[in-house]
Amino acid sequence: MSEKLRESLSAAMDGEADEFELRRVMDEAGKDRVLRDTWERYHLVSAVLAERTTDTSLRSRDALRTRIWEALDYELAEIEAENVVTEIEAPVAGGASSPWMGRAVGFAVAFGVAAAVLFGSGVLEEQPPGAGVAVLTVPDAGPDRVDDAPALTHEQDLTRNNAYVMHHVQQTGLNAGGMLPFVKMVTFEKAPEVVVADEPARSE
Amino acid sequence: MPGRIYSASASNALRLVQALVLLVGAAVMPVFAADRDTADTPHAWLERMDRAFRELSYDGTFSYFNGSDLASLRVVHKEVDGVQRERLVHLNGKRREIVRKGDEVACIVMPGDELLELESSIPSGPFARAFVRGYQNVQDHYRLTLAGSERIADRLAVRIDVQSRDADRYGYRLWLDEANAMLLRSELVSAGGQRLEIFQFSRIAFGNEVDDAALRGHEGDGAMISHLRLSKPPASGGTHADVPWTAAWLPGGFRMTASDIRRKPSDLSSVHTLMYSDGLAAFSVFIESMPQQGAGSMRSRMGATVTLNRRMQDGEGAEYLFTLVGELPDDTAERILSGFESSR
Repeated sequence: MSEKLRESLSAAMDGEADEFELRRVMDEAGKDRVLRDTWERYHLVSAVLAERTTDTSLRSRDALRTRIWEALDYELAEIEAENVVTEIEAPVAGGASSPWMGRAVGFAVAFGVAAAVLFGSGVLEEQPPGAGVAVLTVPDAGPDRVDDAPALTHEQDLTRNNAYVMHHVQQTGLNAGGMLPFVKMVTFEKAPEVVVADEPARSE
Repeated sequence: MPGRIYSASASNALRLVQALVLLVGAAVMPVFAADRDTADTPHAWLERMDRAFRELSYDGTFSYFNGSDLASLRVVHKEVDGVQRERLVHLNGKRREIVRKGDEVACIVMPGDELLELESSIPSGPFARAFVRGYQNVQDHYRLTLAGSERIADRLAVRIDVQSRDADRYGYRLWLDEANAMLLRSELVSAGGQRLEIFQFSRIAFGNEVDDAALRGHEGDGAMISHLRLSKPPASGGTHADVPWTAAWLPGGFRMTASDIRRKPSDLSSVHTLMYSDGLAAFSVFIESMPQQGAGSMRSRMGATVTLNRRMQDGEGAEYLFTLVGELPDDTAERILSGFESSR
């Protein structure tokens, strides 16, 4: 790994990388195992440090929202960018940016969510990579619906939906209060059963 | 016994018992004395439930059924030296514990359990805040009635039915301890009366029976401990980002409580998230550019929570993936999602 790339990686960790730099790190991470390992070590160290810190940003709702989104984003990154390990950007709007340490904690949350979704899902465990799921057709397309794709859905869809369910449950807990959202999370072991599915976007 | 109908005489007798219980309760528990005159209304009971979660000491085991799986958990709550302390233990499967001391939270899991930090939104008690805080809106769209008394966890409980006034949301049945208003059981029910989620204590002890030692987490056997700080409830109104989509139709009483925009790291594309609530029920909508892989339109359900994906186009023909997640009937979710319009 070149020194320039290492600098870009540090900048990405610090949230100082511009779009071009971030893309470069992402692209290289897909090819460079050393870079991926370095990235993981940075996050591991930061996660350990984060356990001993009392980062005041964690006290705010926006920081927590950021952490939840990091969890979601990490999981999505795993889905959509094979072998690419990267970091998220601060929110575009509606939330607060988080410092390096806060985002490092978010990585740990992200890993937890991703692993829970991936390994806790009986559906996914049963599906070989790339396998589709037999589906039914929903006839009531809305005015802007697009209905010209083949009738298969992918495990990425299930994984993405699981991440969204987790996000919704956490947000419900924040907004409404109550122990039930937490109970839902702590007992979340399986993907929801698909009862109806129809046209995926495209067949790659 | 859900759906049980009480005769007028039984109901009157029940109210008399309730009044007596409350009178005695008010004498021994000053915290509830202010409710003495209005205690026999659903609202008064819900207010007491809210306080019960925070002010009572309790140690109980409850079950939670989400429509397909049954989980068992133990909760211990007590105020020690003016500090709220709480412990929640997952009794089945992987051992997971949450130990809370004021705003400080420790999550105890065994090695290999990756649900390490999911407790970050652990709140102070089930349901109560939502029912009380959104009461006015709740009244407009839910009908609250006292529905008799039953025995739950070997204790007398008052049942409150929270029935939806339309078919666009689910209802609730709540059983509150007659002596102290603690929530002993709740059901989330469909319009047809189907129970979608059940929460119920099987055993619960109060007051001096709660041992301080029960608040201490079990940290042995190589358990991993993560220390976090509890987040504060969001300010009213939440945060709102400029999202170029609007819902053309929402069920009555639902309003947007938060909106946000984030970028995905994989391609720097943005995901819009919108959250709506009527005070009790809530749903989230996620909007993103059509992914290159997957993105099938599908509907799934786990208990009361539906997940719905749909492909939509904006005015320029660009494709987007919409995902709705929430505690809603299928038809309502479909109608909401199909009504989204581009506002640009």
